[in-house]
Amino acid sequence: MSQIDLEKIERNARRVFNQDGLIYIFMGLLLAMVGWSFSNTRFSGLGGLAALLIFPIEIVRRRVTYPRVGYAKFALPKGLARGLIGLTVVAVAALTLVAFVGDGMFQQYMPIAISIVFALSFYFGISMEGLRWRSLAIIALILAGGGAVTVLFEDWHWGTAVLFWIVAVILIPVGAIKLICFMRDNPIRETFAHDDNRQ
Amino acid sequence: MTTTGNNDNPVNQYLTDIDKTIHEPARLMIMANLYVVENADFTFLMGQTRLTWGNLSSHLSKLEKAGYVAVEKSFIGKKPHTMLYLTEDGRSAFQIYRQKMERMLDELPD
Repeated sequence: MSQIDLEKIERNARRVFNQDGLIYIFMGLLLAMVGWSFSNTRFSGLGGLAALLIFPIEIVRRRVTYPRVGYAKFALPKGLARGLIGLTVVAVAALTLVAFVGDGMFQQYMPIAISIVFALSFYFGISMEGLRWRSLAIIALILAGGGAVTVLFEDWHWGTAVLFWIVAVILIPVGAIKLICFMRDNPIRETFAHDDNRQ
Repeated sequence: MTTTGNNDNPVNQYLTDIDKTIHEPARLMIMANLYVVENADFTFLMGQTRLTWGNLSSHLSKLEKAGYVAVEKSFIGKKPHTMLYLTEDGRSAFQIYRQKMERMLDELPD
């Protein structure tokens, strides 16, 4: 008889809601729009507006995800607030340093700085569900992409935009495939769609 | 029928004290899955526990009767929707059950 592994149960429960791929699609669209804002100053407002995408994504989740796998509300994980604040402080400090210190002489390193922030955010996000080799490979890919773009582009604005677009181009199709697989593997059953606790 | 077991054995003592409502495997699964969330609906619990609708429903009734699980019924659009969560009693009963089981397992010889 084994002891009750509540952490494993919670990880499995959280994983259910990331199978739909919607978070990948959201992140991809967000990064594509933020990339646009870097590529041309006329589009600089797009970056802020991109956050509003969470609302249509949530509507899709209510129509697609919850009827298939149900709904559960989780308590905030221990250390989440502290972790988010820490990550934000590190990200803002690193990007400010790169952008403004030494009259912008480090600006060309912006793409690699941003890719480090991406990698840390991704690591932080998935650590709640348990790390896997696949996740570590994605982190390595993000860092390698950031390094490559830094070397290849002289204009850091374009370099940063291209980095965002590359990640978006990967995330959106991955999310779409995950969503299709999720819908195929989790059909809405008749008993699920109606009252589910008739007693 | 009489038993000749050793009542001084701490393992026996723990087993005697164990909460039988929670100890049943299906109900233990339900309690553990509800323990890690604030609340969840019936569909989610069915998926996590792999219990059939009827099975889950009957075990939930027993847990509700014991005061461990609360059931809230509402409507989303025109569809009825059932949310479930552990009551304070349910949470503390589950914690006590876990502690007792862990202690009992620690007492067992290797």
